[in-house]
Amino acid sequence: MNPERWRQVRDIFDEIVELNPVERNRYLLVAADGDPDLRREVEELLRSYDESGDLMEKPAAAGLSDLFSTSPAPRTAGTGPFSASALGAPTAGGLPLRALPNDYTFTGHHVGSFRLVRKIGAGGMGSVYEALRDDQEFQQRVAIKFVKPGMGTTGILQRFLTERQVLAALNHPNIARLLDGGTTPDGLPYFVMEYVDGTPIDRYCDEKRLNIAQRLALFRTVCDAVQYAHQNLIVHRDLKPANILVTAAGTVKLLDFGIAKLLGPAVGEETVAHTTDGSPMTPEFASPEQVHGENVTTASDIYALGVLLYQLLTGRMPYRLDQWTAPKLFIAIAEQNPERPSERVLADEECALGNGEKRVVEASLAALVREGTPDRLHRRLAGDLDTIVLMALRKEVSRRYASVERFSDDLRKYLEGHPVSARPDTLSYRLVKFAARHRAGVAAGVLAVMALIAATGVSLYYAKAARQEQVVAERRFQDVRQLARFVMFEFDDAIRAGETPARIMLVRRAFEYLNGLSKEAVGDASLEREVAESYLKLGDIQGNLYTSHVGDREGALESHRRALEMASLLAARPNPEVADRLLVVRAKTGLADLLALGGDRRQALRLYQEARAVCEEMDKRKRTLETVRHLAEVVSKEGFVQSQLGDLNGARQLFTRALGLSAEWQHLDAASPQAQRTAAMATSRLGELLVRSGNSAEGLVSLRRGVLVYEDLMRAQPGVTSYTRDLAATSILYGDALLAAKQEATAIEAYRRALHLAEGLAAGDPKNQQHQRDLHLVLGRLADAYSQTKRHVEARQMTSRALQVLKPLVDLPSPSGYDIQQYVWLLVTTPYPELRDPARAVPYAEAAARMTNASDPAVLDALARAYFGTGNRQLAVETERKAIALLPPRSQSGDSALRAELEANLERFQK
Amino acid sequence: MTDTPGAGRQSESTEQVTRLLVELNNGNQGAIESLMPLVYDELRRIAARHLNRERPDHTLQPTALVHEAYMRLVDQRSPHWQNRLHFMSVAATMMRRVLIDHAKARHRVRRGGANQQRVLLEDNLAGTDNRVLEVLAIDEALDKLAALDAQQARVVELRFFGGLSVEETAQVMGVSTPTVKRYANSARAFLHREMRRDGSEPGATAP
Repeated sequence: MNPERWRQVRDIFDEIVELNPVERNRYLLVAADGDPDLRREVEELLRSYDESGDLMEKPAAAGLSDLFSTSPAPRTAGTGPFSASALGAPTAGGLPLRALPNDYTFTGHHVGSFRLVRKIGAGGMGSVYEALRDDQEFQQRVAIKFVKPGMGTTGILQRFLTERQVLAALNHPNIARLLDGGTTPDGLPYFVMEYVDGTPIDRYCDEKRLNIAQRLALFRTVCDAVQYAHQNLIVHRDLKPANILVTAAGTVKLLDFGIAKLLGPAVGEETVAHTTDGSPMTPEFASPEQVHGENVTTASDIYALGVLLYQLLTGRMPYRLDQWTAPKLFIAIAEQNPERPSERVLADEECALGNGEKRVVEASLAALVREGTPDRLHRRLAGDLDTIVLMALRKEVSRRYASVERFSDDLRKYLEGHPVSARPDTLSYRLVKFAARHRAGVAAGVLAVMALIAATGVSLYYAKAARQEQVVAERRFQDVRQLARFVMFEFDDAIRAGETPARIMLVRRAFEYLNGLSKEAVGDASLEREVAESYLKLGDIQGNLYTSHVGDREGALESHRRALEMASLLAARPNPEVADRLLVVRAKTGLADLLALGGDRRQALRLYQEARAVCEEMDKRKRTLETVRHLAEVVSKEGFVQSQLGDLNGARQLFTRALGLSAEWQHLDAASPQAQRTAAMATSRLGELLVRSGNSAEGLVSLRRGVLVYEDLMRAQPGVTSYTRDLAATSILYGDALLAAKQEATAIEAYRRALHLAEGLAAGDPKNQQHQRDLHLVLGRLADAYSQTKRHVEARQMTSRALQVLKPLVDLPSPSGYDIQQYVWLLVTTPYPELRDPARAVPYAEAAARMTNASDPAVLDALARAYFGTGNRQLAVETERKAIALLPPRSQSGDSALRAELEANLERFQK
Repeated sequence: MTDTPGAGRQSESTEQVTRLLVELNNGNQGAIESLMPLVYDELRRIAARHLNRERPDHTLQPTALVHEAYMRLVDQRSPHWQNRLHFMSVAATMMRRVLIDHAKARHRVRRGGANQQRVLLEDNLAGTDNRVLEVLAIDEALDKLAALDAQQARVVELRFFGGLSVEETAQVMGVSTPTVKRYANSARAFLHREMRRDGSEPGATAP
């Protein structure tokens, strides 16, 4: 076909595709008159169209999500029935640990009355053959396991003779029977067992893609068989998937019951794992008491079943190893507490194999063969199943299930929706340990909170377990919420005045606690809302600019992000509640506050704009106190960032709007100090802006008004430190404006007053970084003012003090870009040669540029000055050019003073 | 600032993309060539990030990706609607490349691993696999259509790979919305026929 032909075909097709078949035909005969080929092609195209179904209905990307996840890796290597691992070779997640030994081939030989048909496996202990008994009318198919020579044959035989009665008596549909045993003419011991053609249980479950309930049902059949053996006083000692096969008909068969004990002391030197009494052990499934060389009891089987269940539910082994060695594994078994199954399934992980390689367990793949998605699987496992599995895996024998029956019974209760008997590892126990670790430093208050959190967790658990008893459960659940609320809100307020380190510790614990709670909360919107709210609160405590500051910036960002994530999900539901959308606004605003403080102003601006958009939309729908309030705050903050970025016109509009909004807010809620504060903030910032754009008379009026409102607020509520801070900050701005208006004496007065306020705050909470920040800010300004008025002694003193305050701040692990910028600025611009140090400034200035993604002209300007100061003219020029390029276009109402300054610098560098 | 690697990436590429779009607006078609790698990288990054979040039932929304890339790469202070159209046009092509590259990579891995788990894997991921095959087949068939009518193929690319709406497609192509719909119909028939001819038609699309 050529393009012209295609157009012909298409034209006809377009005309008739919407018609019914009869009309199509009629039209086609006319349109393609005399050209049967054309007609055929159109017909074919029409048919193809009719058959195309939903082709391209959805965009290409839909449904291709997993394209971008990690590439698939085989989950396990093959473990066929009676394969190497079935022989008791140590395995790591189903992979044989070493190459199979080269041993004898007996095929075709006879052993007793059996003819060996085929070798079906080989391993450390020996090899297994499929065999047939010929001398009867019916053929009996059996499996014969030979023990490798040199493995202590006499002992094995001895034990076999004593145990055979018991083993032969094990008559259970899910246990492969031990039929016979003996030695070959050359003295090789062997066992004859029921032949089972099946798949290891873990593989079977994955291949059949059994969901969790189906896996549990199958697992309970295994429990039945083990329980039966235990009643007959036989411990398996080597339970693992390779010994638990499922036939094509779906019947579970346990192999090798009692064999492990028979083979006991015979284990050779090459077996990586054996207990001190010499019994063989599959390391992954070995229990802590086996690792310690203690008595092996029914509890060891319970533990091994726990490992198996862990594996069936998660696709992972209970312990994570960075490198697979038997000692590392043993240490893990003895000491490490397994992670909750529900936690493990959320992420891909790399697990170390015995051969030194690693394999990736893909979360999505593991979930796919179970419950669909990692998230769903997580939810399925969280709670009772976590508790049950971990109870079976306890280190202390006495704290595991007392019997397999109890274990299995709990699973049944779980499946039926009844409360289970397993209890999570006691929190009080962990709390005691925590207190012991921290005895020296822990404040009593923090311990009290810890106890509270622990109690909350426990009650939450019981509440869930008892959900059947609706009323009780409901009430307990409410109790839990009350407690949680207390921890997060009231208690925080109570220690608000308190010491910073105690709060940091509390906050960290609270964060962990919330993470737990957020998982419990899935699906319960009101609880989710509370958790999101708590994350916000926590984020504030961790480091909000506008409340007192404990300086955990990363933690604060993380808390806010989580809050935002939860809030966004809540708000994304159809007909979201007002509260949810407000949460989104608050989370975005909080995140933006932090980013702005860190120096990433563009990102902050974007978030403020997004938050504003949500507010505006809500406000348009229905104006309430809440919408006005949030809008006023967001608009004011957005204006501030906008002004910092140099868009003075935009900022002015925003401040003006914020003023109008806070007036309305005060109108709606006259008593609100918060409304007053927002108004004061907008006024002072507008004032600052006016001064910057050259209108200093109006600016001074505006700033003065701001100072007065803050003074009012401080008088009304003297205990609130944030008003003190606000007043200090506004006094600084006022001082700036006065200085610019050449009223130096009054300016210094304003700065002095700010310094006094800041010193008071810093003395009250010396570890609070924000107070240190305020302090260096004032000191810097005073240095400038003194320097301008030629009071050099005082100026030098202030500069030196500012540098001292800044040094520890900029050397923090995650310093604020703002602090660094101040530090750099002082080092490169101070007129006092003994304090000036551009060489020291360069790495800090570079870090500041990196932190702000080189998007802030002022930061780049400081860097350029630092380069210039160290004699690196070329870099200085390049960097200054970049800084200038970041300024808003000249045509727009940019900050012309800043532009002039940067351009002057550029010229200076170029000389 | 040569010694702060990566620091200026976003704003530099933003600047570059915005400038290129302006050039494109002024009729410099060569700017497309320079735009493509920038957009490709950004889309891939965004896609990977979106999918790493492991949301349940997460599907990739190309429109959202393209939009996000636009927000990141184009200076929002000087929004020209033509910029947006040009951008979406380039982004659709890049979206196609991102998806096809990944689909091919995934497909290779799936077919290549000659181990015993292959069957299991393919069984598990049958749904996705069919979808991968389908998209790859559409990609190939689309090249054939392009040989017959480049404009029509482009419409499919914008709609199917770029996730653009009928209206957006019409704007980008400078044609009417009924034309876009007509093109889409006959293209669908054509592609279906080509895919069936190759024998690569996956079961998933059977009616």
